[in-house]
Amino acid sequence: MKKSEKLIWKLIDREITEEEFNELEDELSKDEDLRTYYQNSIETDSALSNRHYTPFLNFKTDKARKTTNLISFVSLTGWIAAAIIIIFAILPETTSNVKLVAAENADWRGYSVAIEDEMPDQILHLHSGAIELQFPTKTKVVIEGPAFFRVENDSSLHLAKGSATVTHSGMPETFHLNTPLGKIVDLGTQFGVLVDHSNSEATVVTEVFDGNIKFIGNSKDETRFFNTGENAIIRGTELGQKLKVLANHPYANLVARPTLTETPTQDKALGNSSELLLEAHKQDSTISDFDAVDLMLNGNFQAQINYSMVKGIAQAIDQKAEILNNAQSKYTPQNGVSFAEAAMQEIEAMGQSIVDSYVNFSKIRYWEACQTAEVVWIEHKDQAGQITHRIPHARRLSQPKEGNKLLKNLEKIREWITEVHLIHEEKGMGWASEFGCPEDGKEKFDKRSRNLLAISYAIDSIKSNLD
Amino acid sequence: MQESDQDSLFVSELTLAQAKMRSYLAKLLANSPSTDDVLQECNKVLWVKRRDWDPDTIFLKWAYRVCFYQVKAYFRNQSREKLVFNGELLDLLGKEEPDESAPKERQEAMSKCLQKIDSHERNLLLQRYEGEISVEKLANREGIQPNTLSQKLLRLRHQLLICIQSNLKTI
Repeated sequence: MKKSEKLIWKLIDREITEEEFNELEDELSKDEDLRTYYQNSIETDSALSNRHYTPFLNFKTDKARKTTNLISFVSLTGWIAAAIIIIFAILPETTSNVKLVAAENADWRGYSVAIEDEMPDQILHLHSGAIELQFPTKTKVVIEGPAFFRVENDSSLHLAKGSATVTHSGMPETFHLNTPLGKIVDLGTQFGVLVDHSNSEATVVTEVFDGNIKFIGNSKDETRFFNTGENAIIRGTELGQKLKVLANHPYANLVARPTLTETPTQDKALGNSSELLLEAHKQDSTISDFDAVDLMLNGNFQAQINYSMVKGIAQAIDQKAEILNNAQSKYTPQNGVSFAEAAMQEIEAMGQSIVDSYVNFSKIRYWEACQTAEVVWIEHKDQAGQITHRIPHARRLSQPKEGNKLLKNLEKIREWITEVHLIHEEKGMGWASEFGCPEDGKEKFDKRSRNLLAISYAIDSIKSNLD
Repeated sequence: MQESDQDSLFVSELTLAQAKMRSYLAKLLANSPSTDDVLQECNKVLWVKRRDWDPDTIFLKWAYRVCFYQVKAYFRNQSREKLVFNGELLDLLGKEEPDESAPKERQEAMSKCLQKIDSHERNLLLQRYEGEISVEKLANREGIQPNTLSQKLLRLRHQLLICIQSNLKTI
């Protein structure tokens, strides 16, 4: 044993003199191995000192004393004590009867669990790889990383993030899987779940491979049943907030991975995938089938119908507006006749159709009349860099785009009518134009004036309907 | 992940990190009696900054950085500490983080190694660490000089350390 090593132990015992301390400082500065020895000595000393309250130690200690030391330890500070109490509360002092029965390249962060270990009651982070759990309820769950999860008890798993395949052969309703958006109750079946989240929103994708499940949302009135082959994309934010459920979405096909000891079912697997996958490649060919508003209205059937009607109306108006736009671009003024005068009848008809429409334009929302968000696809990859699934998200645009052009066309119509109106005002109430002579100039003028007000009111209302 | 889940995960990581954080702090603080106080300060800072932690990164790496700056802050504010490493050595020690062996593995290795020590000597060592009996009293009971006992304990810990490190390498 070297002198410098002795000095380290004297330092640890706080029995070192000032002179010895200075000597040790010099040695430590020069000698990396000695610094390593110092680190290891400290850890050995800590291991010896802490054995009464370290929850991992194998020594048998008196229970009452253990508690005393623990309280003493945690009472060092005020508020942090609460956190530390939680810490000890969640430590794996008690375990469930749920066992980890298989693992495949499992890379744990924080607490790790070995094969044949019982699962602790705490949230775990499986960074990558896959594990298989066996619940006493005759339920087998394969979880694939990256995942955050917690075995809550012998019949319940909380999946905060990640993907899982649940195979339940026990009595119906004896196992359930909790997600951030609600509970999936197994009615005797096999199903897949994928939980993902952004900063503000969680997404749960589930598909029933066999049998049926019941999804109970955090809000009490949100219970859905799904049968074999059915799937759902469920979105939501805070607990209890109304969820958006899009059932049987064509892109939400998950692939079952019921066990780690067998190859995955090939009937639904894509290519070399052995993981829970979304059929991401399908998205590319049909990505334009829905827009960000469709995505945001998932689960709100009434709003979906309204939006479909708005899109239809927008398309009808755009067709007619486009005819006038084309005509305007080709028009060459002759004899001082402007396009507005030449197309006066068509413009007036367009304005009248807006004012006398079956549709109350003032009720249309801003985001229905132009594009305020776009669809972006968040890709998730496995360790090999292969895309395993993609999830659509609506991303707000900093500058709205034309979208279905409803708002833009209404403004254009107002512009054309205003031009006609100004000509009329300029020419006087007795104005007679070869392109459409108002029979009663004053009455026509007043009526157009009212129409302009109505169209402006509709445009202003749309712009303020931001909810 | 919801905030409650993230907090739960954070608390879990913080719990597991306690032993390693304490060892790291004890090294920088020359095993000062204030080590536990600084550890609690670090816990507080980590809790306040918990939203800065990315669960996909290694918690301990982040925790060590926080600990290092807390030690520097402690030395700035505490002039009563007698054993204070110079700044250069402190930086050096701060950069060299403890090995990645989990406290559980070290404890298991220690349990094995303790079994290899003569039972009488093992009891001496454990009694010393019980903290309920001073070296003087223990030496009196053994009928030896306190200095002799200190040397014996020093040698035993050295042996234990060598054994533990050897065991950890084979795990």
